[in-house]
Amino acid sequence: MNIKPFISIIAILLISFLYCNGCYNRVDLGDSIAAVAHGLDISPDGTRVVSSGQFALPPQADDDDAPKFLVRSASGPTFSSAEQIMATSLPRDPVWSMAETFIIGENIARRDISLFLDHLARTNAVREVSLLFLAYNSTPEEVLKTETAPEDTAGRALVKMIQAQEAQIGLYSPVTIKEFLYKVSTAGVEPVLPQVKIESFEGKDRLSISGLAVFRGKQMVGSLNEQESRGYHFMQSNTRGGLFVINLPDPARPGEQSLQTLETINSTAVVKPVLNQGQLKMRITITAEGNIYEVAYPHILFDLSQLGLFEQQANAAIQSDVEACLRKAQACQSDILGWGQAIQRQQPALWENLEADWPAQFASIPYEIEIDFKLRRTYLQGRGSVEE
Amino acid sequence: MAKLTNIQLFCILFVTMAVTPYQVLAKLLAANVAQHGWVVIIGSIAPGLLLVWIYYYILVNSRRTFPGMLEEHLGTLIGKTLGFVYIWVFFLVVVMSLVIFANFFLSNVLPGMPISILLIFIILPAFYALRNGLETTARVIEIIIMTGYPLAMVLLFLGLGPETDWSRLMPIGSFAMADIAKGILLVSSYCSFMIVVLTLGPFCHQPRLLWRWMLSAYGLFVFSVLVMVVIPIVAYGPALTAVQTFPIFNIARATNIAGFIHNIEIILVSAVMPGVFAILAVFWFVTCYSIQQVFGLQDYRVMIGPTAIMAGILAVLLVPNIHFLYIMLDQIFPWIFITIFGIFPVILALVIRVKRPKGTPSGTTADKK
Repeated sequence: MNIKPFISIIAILLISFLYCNGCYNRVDLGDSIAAVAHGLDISPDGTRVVSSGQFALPPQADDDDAPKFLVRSASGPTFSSAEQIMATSLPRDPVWSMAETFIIGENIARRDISLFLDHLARTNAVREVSLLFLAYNSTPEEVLKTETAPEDTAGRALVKMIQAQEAQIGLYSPVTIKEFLYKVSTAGVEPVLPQVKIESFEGKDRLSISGLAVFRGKQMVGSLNEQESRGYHFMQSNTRGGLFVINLPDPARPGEQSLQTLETINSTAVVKPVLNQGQLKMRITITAEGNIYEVAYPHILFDLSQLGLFEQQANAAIQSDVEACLRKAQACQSDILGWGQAIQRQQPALWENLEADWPAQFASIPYEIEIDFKLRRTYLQGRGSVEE
Repeated sequence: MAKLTNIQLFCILFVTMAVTPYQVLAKLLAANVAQHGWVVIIGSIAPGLLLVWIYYYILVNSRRTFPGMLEEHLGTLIGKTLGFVYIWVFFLVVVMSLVIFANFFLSNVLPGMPISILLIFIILPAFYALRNGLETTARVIEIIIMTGYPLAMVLLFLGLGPETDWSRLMPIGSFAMADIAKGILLVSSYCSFMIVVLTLGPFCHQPRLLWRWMLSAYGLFVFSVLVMVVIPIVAYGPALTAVQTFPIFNIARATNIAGFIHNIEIILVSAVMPGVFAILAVFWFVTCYSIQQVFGLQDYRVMIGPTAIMAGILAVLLVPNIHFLYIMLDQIFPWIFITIFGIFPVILALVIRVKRPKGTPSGTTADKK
């Protein structure tokens, strides 16, 4: 075979690809400004949507006090038109595809989430791995304007906060746009979003992640508090990390109890719909293992019976958290735990009967919970360091 | 006469079958059968194997290349008439490939790019490849498959992130047989693109041994479409996969490995573009070669220029929008392809079988040049 035409074809292919590499959509660095976070809300009268953007400003070499970010908001009939209006007040092109955090306003969440869902799903400037939060008792603009030392921007700070606490505390898991869209579009499961609150501390505002927003259909219908959120965390099929507190009788103070902290290494939850004489019940089995993280009375002796007591109390604590979550979810008629999906997969014929009014059905389904928590290790110390 | 190696034929057969499903099959199957795409693909193995056997049977029992073998077995009038029909259907595949790629590119990658520029820069390499001959084109396609296919598959597997849930393939059984049949039709219609072996097979060194390569190409196709269909379902679920325009591209967009490897969708585009070039070149060659055979031309190369212009114009005019494109992909094209590339060859094989003199073993007429 003549090698020359072969090389020519390869060369022409490569040259052709060069013309398809983005010239037509290019944005020069000096003409652009990166959006690090994006806020989506609705005006109080519900007539216009409000789009907010937090933009990272280039660092100033000789001025440490120079602002590190810029927040702009604009309202419009749709989010795309609001962004266009916002762009008219910015001297540079906003690069929305760099936003790694999206903050949903509580107003729009309680009104109708479909107002922003299409914006998240359709436009190619939104990356599905970006994280979603809900601004609780505040607006996205207020959240974005909050200083979040040591991070430069609230968008970046929220990402780091939720990723760090997931591993360390295990209360709230990051929710990506992809996961949110999946749960919204799929029957038998409802989404949740971590809530961001603005707290006042020593005269300054700071952000904290507190609770999970619960959705049903197209609206936010309630929130999970810390205990309920921990229960939700345990109900996920596979989790790692997290701390929780148990009560144990304090041998030093008879009749009183003291708190001990346990750490979850991993936990697995299996949900099985069980039909018993035509009655549906959900059987929840949670298997977890963990370590002793901190004890309140260091003179405790770790014998097998004591460890057994730890495990017993851990089971009770986890059960309490899970029941709290279930009570709230059923009160909100929101199947955030995916029971509908479990029924659909394991009992499809039954699901066909329940699907039509599933939220109401979900609220009245009984359940039984079985927890099996096993203690594995005690970190650097076995028994306590203080002699009784 | 040009000669192809068996490996080159394997690469050509695979690329003609796999490129279009890589872009559209996940959405089409999710829209029709929800999470049962994998059931459909397993169900399409039998019809696919039948098609492979039919093509091989026709190949070894014919002296001429396709569409000349239509005249050989059916007579001049019917042969040329059918050959004329096949020219247009082959050309339809060319135009369809261009349209799908243009919509894919302009929806997901560069919305601001003029479609004419895009079409020129995908048609131009194929034009040059065809002008340089079949051997050169086959060699380029061989390189494309060896480099692009592993990349395309790795990108799919990288999309299996922490949110992957294999139980999204459940439940099994709650489907309508009509939907499963439609799904099998869809998959089989892409498998029927292997009909190009009837034209290219005689160019190979040992056509009688082609059955191994045809089976291998089909086996790789089945594995590949299984991956292409299953991974979007376990990543997005059937409902979300069905509403996205190109789910595979979204898989690449959403890939994030340890927060370090992300925004890798351009690599997927780099793998898809050569694949589109390959299917374009193959079916374009088959179209021009068929024109040469049907109309008795000296050389197929004279038709490359006019068909290039026609392809570019038809690619713009064929569908007014992407919604219409998916309606055609879902409801019209599968029937056309399965009839012309599937049912007609079955009838041709039956005619060959009936017309074969008694006592003549199968395949004895296929003494290839």
